[in-house]
Amino acid sequence: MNKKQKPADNTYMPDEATFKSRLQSRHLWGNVWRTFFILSIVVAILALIVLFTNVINSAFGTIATTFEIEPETLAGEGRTLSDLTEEELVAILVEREPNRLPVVVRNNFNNVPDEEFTESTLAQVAPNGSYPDGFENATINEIRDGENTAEVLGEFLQLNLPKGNIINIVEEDIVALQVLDAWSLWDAITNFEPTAAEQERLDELPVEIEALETQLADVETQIADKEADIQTLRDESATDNADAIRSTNAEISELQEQSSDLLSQIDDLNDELTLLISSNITTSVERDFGDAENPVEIVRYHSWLSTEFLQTPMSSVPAQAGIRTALYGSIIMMVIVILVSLPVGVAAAIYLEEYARDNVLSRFPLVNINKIIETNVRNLAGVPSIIYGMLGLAIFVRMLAPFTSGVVFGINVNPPPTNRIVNLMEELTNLELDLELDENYNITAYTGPEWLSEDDAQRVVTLFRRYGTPSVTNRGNVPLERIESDIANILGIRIRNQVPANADELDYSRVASGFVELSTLPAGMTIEQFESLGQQLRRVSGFTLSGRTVLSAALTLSLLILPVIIINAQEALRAVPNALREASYGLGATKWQTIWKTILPAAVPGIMTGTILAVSRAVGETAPLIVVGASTFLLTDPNGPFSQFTALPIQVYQWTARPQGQFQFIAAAAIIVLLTMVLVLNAVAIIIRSRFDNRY
Amino acid sequence: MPDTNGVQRESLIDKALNRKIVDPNAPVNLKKSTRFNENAIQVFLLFCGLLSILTTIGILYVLVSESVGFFTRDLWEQTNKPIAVSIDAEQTVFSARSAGRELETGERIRIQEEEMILEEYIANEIEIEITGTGAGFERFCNGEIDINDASRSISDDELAICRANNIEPVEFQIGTDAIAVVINAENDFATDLTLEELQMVFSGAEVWSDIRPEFPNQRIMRFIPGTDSGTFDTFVEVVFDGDDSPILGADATAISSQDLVTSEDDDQLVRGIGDNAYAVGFFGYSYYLDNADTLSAMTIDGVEPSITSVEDGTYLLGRPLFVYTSEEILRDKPQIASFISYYLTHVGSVIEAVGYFPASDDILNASKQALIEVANIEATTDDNGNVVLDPVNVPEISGNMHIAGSSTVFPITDRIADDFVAEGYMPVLTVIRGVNGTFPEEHSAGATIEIGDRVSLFEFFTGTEWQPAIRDFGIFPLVYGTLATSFIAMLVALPLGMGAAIYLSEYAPENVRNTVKPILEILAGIPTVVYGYFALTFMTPLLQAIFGDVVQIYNSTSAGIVVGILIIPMVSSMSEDALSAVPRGLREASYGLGATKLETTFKVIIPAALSGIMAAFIIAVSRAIGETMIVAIAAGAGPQNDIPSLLANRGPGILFEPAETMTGHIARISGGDLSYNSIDYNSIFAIGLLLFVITFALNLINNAIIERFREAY
Repeated sequence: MNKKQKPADNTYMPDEATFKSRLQSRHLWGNVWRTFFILSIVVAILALIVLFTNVINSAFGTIATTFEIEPETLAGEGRTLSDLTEEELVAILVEREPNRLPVVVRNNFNNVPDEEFTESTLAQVAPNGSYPDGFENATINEIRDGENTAEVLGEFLQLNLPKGNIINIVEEDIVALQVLDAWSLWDAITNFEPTAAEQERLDELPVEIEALETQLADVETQIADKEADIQTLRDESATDNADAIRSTNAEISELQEQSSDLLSQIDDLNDELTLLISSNITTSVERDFGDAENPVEIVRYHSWLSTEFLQTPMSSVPAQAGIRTALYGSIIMMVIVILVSLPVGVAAAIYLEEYARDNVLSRFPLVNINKIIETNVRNLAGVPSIIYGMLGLAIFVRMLAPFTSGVVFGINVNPPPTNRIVNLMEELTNLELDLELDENYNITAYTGPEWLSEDDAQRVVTLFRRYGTPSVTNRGNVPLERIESDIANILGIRIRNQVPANADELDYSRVASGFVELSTLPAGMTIEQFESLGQQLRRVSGFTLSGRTVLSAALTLSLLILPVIIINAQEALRAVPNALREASYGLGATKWQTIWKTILPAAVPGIMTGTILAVSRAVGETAPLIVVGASTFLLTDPNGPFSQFTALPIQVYQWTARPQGQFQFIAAAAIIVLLTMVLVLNAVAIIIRSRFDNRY
Repeated sequence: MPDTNGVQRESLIDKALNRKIVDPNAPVNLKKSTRFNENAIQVFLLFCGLLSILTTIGILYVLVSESVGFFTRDLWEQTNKPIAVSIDAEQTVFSARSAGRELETGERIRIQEEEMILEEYIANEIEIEITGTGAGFERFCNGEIDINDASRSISDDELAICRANNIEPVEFQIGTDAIAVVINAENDFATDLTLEELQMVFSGAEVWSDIRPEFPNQRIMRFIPGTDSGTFDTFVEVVFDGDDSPILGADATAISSQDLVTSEDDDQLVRGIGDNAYAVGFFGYSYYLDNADTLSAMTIDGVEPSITSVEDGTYLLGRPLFVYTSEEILRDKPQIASFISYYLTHVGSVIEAVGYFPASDDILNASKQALIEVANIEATTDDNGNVVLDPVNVPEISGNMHIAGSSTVFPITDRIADDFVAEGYMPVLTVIRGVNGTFPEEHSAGATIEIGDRVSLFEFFTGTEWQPAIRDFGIFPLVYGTLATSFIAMLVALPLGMGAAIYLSEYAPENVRNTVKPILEILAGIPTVVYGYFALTFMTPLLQAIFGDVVQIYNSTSAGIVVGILIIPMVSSMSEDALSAVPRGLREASYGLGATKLETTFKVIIPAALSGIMAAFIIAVSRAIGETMIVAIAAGAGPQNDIPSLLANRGPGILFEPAETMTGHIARISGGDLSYNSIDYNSIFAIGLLLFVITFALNLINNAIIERFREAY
């Protein structure tokens, strides 16, 4: 085809052949691109499928387990451990491991430091718990010295631990179930047992190897013989037998070649054997754990996801780990998130849609607040979630710690044991305190240091009890320097020489982050000193204010999804036809009546859809929770907004980041739970949307 | 009146039944009763709206305030400069040993947790340079140095220069040195020469046999001190009557340059002579003593250099040693006067150890007398009639000293300076104590001084290493990690997302679209941590299977690809919205002109929807940059500090290496046991601020685009 110059005028038309061939190529390109477009979609869908397959592949599979005692022997014929009652489980513990119970108690209740454990009473070990009759105030040591140690502690465990934990303890300490190795579902299906051909080969190989080894031994004997021959020849006369030696040497090198040939054959066969064994589950288990003391059991189709997985708390052993605490954490958070963000979000949306069009605030041309709010909401929706986490960390966790930790509401305040308070006060005053407290922390006998009156001592005790932080009140009859130096000596606080002239005017509410109630401060003490004192004491008394609670996390997530809810709610409100508004106004309703009685009900499905989608996003959010400080290992269930928390996605992250292979499997199981939650929420949203779509 | 009765009865009944009496004629104010409520509600709603602004302000406040903390936080760095004596809590002046980094006035320092501000810092250093006597005088006469170590007296020329600069030199003789003429230890012929023969050796003679016929016919190699040195001057003075042309001159009698090595460094001379059996040279007697194993000194006219022969003048090559300072300096710088006083008092005990000969009492007395005359220094006379200068209270002295001059005198001066420092001449710190709420406390001698260093904005933005452990805070490695993963994510998400959008909007039949869109929504709704799991357990092994071992377990590519997959639904749904918004008319017009579907799409619809597509892309980039969990799990747990060398060695393979991103770093640091009072805590907020600024800027651009092109059709 000749190349044709395009003429200057517009009358040019290609001849038919050119036109057709061009048309063909145009359509060809059209089809090529069309394929690409379809491919794009296919890739996206494929990714989704592969993702699900990958998770399922890991969440189910084969495990090889072993245990010291079969659960069935413990539980009785035909029953599993979870069929037993708590009493029966504890009875097993008491019977089999009576000496381990104190350790079990210590590991499951971490309210007191380990070194103080034996000195602590049960009431201190588990505050708010229930105790075996008459043992509430018995220390662990006393119980241990008593007669029925195991029974008492067993009863204590039974009263205070959920069944899941007790099953865990039984499994860990008595059954000692151990997952030796685990394989994915794909392996379980395809590589469980050797196929017939493989099995044949497996049987053959050792025979072949043995045959070759016999040959090898034979060849090596021959070589040794020949070498001996040479030696004999040499000994006779090296020169006379030169020819003979040479020929024997040649024979030897031939034999050596044979032997190395044989060796490489044996190596190859060995490699093949190893590969065959490793590529099948049963054979590799036989090889790796065949000599184990306890019987090894292979469960071909094991589901890492099980009701037990949902019911048990965390564990450092993958096979015993569960997601109960994480699930609770996620659910509590979800509830708080909805409670906080739904009303606020809808309110903001109503304002923006119904009021912001023409009110006073939009009449300032330069600072149109309504416009700013609108833009701001849109921008906030694009802020990375981890930034919200940092906001939560600085504001909710740190700045508002008194609120988010619950201390302001009197929650989460664990009073230190009475003997510790006395110790602490002695430490503070550097004096022998003659102070006795009853169980309600009231002073029953006091002959303490002169300068601290009994009333003040009582106040200190009360404060200790409430916040773990004391105050010191100077009655003026002890030289100031004495108090200062005593405190300074004990706590290593350095007293500054110059005292600010206006020391009395300082804002004492700031003292020790606002948690020391003081009427007077020892004159001459600076606020910094006292703050530092407060911190020292707080450390000594073991009380720390932690805002890393469910509430902080939930508030952070609420802020995170607020823009999404606002935008969705705005759209839902916008979709309500104006006719409804006008009809309502026409009936004489006020603006708010119109909104409340007419528009909102009409927009509810849309708002619901948006909210559910936003909440499903919140449920899956991980990054902000990490920053806000989710616990990574939590044995006790969160019991309200002020408890430490962990959440499902945090669990997934933790387990995924662990190097041990088995954690990948439980991570996959947790992912299935998480995805189920998210997808169910999404499905609900989609159903609501489609049911109420196009009502108007 | 029955009517009245009726009304009365009604009202009575009302009363009896406790009915409320309503006056039908009374005016009803419907509005008034509700208005307050309505307004209150509106205010409440407005407040909820303002909460979003409050959130933004909160984010900005938190990020900025903690970042300020990051850049103003002191990172204490040791100076190796310990305090000299123990100081009690009230002292505000103390001295420090002088090793380590210099301090500056106004700097914040810390000793054992106590912070203080340096009100004044006096370095108090003795700087001693070896320049040679001549060069030393040159600088001395220019007023550049305080003391000149001289191995000869000042010449008339030099004196004239000094005086021209209003400097009146004061001379203190401190001892005597002898010049040793040195030969290789193997040289057994030229052990004794006359002065004439010495002249021949250091002038025109080429071979040893020129000196005496019985000497071997070997070239004479000469190693002599530099012409700036006092040793050279003295040698020329004694041997050639002050005329250096036989050695240096260009005439026939001079030494050819190939046989002559001059060096200011005496060690070089020692080495040269030690290596060459026919070499000869001269330098200070002390240097000869230090190297007597490889060298031997020749006798001159049969006189061996020794204390006695130098003292009585029989050894010709003896010379006096001086230190010079000026009247002006002695007056203006009391530390110099004190130092000279200390020098003259202690030189006797030092000089012999160095290898020189002490000055006689008379000479020393004369020197001390000279000092007493010029400087305001008290003295007494002891039983032997010698002058005894009052002891110097060294720790009270402050001010720097600059000494230069002869390498011969240097060892004496150096030792005396060391003793001077040991007696307490050290940097002096005047401080304001107890800064930042720390309390003045007693510090024991030897406690090190730390200097407060801060992360500068410059370092933050230009540094190439992020290693908090060693206080390196350059953001580049983290930004690189973010860019690498985002770039790969864009490579995946933009074409595929666009492709999907075009398919859904232009090609897909209605029922396909209805099936595919929810699937994409599901893809968008999956928590990112699940994608992270996917990247680590599927994508990375897949890449390893394709590319082999070069792919690390944690790498940017795998994380980037999965971030891309995560973003596909977003790109496609936003782009599709933009494409669908293009009016049908445009399509039909294009078809009418005979364009194929592809041509219509590329040439008409995409240009028409460009703003929406741009917005989608920008949002996608912003999302990729802000994505955390995928990169935290799959991109590696440590900033890639090795970028230049990796890039050089591996090229694009660097994308298979681990590289932590900004978000990943924040997540990792805050996931650990983070102390609120640490630089790590502050640093994540600085990173967060940068991240926020980037994403916020992208969002603003996006908003601007949408705003601008919204009404296009």
